[in-house]
Amino acid sequence: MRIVPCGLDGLLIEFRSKIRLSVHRRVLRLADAIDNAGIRGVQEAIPSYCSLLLRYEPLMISFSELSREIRILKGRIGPGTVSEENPLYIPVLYGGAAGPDLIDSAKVCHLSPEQLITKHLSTVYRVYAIGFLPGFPYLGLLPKKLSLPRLETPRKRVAKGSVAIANRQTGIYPRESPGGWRLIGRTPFELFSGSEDPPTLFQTGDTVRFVAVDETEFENIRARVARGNWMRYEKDWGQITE
Amino acid sequence: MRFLSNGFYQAVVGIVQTHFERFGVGPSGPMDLRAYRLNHLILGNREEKKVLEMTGLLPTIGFEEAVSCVVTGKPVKIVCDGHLIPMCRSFDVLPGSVLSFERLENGGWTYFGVGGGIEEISGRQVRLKAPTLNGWVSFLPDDLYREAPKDEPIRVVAGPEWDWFDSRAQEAFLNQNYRVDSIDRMGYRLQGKPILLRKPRELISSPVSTGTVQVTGSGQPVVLMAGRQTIGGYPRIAFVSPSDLSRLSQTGEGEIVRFRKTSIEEAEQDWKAENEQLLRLAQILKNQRTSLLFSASVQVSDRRFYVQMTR
Repeated sequence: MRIVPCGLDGLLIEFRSKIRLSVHRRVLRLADAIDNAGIRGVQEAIPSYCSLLLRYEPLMISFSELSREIRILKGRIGPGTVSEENPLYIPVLYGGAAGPDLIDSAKVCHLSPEQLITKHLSTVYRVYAIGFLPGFPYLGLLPKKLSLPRLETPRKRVAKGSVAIANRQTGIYPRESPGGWRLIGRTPFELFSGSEDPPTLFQTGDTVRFVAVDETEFENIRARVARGNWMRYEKDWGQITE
Repeated sequence: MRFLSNGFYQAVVGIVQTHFERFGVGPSGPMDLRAYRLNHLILGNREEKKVLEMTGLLPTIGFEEAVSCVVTGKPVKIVCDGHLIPMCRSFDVLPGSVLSFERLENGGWTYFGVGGGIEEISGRQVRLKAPTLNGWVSFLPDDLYREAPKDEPIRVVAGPEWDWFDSRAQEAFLNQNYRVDSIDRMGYRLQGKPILLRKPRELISSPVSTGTVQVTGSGQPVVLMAGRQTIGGYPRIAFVSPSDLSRLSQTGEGEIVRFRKTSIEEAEQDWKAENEQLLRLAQILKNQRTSLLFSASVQVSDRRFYVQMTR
């Protein structure tokens, strides 16, 4: 574990530089412990793949004091686990206008579009980080066979809800934005609302599975989501369909 | 109040109290934090009140209420009802008053604040929180508030990936003139001799801060600003000392920037000193107000004079 400054209001804790479940669990365990410790000046713990950034008020605590607090806290954490809940199910309409890069991507992977979809559906993903856009989940790990570089020229406009792949990751665009990932499908789910707390459907550390839906189902879900109270509905959706 | 003509960019900004970076929500807030705070000090507003941030072609504003105003940040020519208004000095407007600004040519951020704060923009209408008319002129004592000289280097502290660069690249980063290539709320792109990694290496996406200096694949630095994202995949060679971030934010496109290395301890000291200075200014401005006995403005041909009698 290395502790370094990353901004005057940012203390960065780095673990082994690997995208690995065991490393990510250590990140989240420390984030949890810090949230519960109520250290003076600490405002938020921001986890990523193998690092954790503490946002803090530098007029209340110095970098060296906070580093010391973290080292003491780290020494006290037992080997316990972070509670892991059932996966969230995310409906996806694959291909066509919803996933304009599906056919090309399959070709580069030497797969048929159907095989690519099956592989994408076969994995239980983990939310390794949330970023890039409010509520954008970095989901890993994508099967090796589907690992493709980003598009050479990013799109100026990616549709809201687009499900995309890049390298060993898959992600969902919570709103329309520019983007360089390859678009293979689209979900009718909302992922972010500024007026909710927490404001996102996902939290870092959640597990996620995709479920293929057809156009009719996509439209039905979208209509239901638009009626309101979507976060509750979306969290229960997997159980409803099962 | 309302926009009689729209500017290139005008937005209501404030300091957001919620911390939602773990959900991918950036900090937002003003680009020039110092100018934002001065705006509040001069008007006597509390720090969470919102102001108008503007750049480029600035709007023309018409008033439907009597309210005290001030303009801080990037200096710009201000005209109110035909009179020139100085920066960093409060002035009162009346229903029917018209305020216009000269264009900000190559970037920079100007802040317009009103007593009681600005609520929101809807179309051309700007809703004010609770317009207050101070009836006095507040200004910053020049001898207590001085901006650092323009050509002074921007102080930076080594970032998490400082060691990914060899000593030649580190020296090149600290000793060259960078030209500001493009400016937006997310970040400032700089252009100079490329600095390359010791060996090709990919960073696993990791959180960033306001002021983080990333080095992109082409070897050019990008300084992340208030509109930044929350995590990034480029090596973080350094971060700008917050005491110099306001000055950097006001550097225009095409202008030259140099960096100088400082330690985290020094950066902490500088920041503390800057905050103490602002507290002192707040106290002085408060004393200005409480010692006021009488205040009026007098119009003589095309000039307006302020008369104040203090204890």
